[in-house]
Amino acid sequence: MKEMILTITFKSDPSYLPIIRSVIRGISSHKTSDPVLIGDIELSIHEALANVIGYAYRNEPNHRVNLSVSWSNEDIFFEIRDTGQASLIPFAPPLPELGEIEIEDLMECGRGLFFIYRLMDEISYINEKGGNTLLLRKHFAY
Amino acid sequence: MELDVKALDRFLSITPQAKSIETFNSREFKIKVIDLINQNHNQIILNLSEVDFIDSNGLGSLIAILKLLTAQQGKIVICGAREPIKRIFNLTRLNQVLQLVESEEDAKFFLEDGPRASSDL
Repeated sequence: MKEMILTITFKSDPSYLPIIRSVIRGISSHKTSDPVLIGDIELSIHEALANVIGYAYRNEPNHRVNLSVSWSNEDIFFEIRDTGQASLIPFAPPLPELGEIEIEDLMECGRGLFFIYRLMDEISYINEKGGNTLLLRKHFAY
Repeated sequence: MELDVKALDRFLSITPQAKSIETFNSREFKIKVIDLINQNHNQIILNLSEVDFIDSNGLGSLIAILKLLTAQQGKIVICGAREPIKRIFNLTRLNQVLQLVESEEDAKFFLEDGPRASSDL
């Protein structure tokens, strides 16, 4: 059974993301003591929130981002809502094969979506008239 | 973001005095390091011992620095990275293009003589 833990609303200012990460870390550590798993959750939720700020809100700092966290016996769930434009979340870029390209051709961006897709177990995204909702699930009971 | 900068022989050691290199501070980090490179320093030891979080924008800054140094026939070696940082480099496979070693001494050795083995980290 899914149990709601908390909902946070914060300004779309990336300097607040370290505070949100500390909350995510605290919640995750209630369910697992695996530092790698906690770090993976922290990084992927950070990237999802940074994506909202950067793309949905185009780095404008005075919008609202809503993060809800819930859990069940084996999973932790995140719901991220914003009222900005459509997100890049549905477009997961493949990671380039580094062995096949030169350093000068390395992309400086695009790895945020890679982290979300690589580290989360389930991703769904809804773009409605009023904004975007991103649902993420991570299984932690291995 | 403050950077602790010191000369180690003919190399420049740069230690970011921040817990993270991420969306809100990565641009400042990149500009400050590029300023140092443009002051005729192209053998860089980046000490990440104070850093416990890097996001995709932080990685983008490191790639920009790597590309600039490569274009100038320079080198960068990263030392002191903690386990979460190493994991991020491994996940993105940037450990294939950014050399990671344990200590500043190892970094100096690498810059002087090249890699001692593929087992660095």
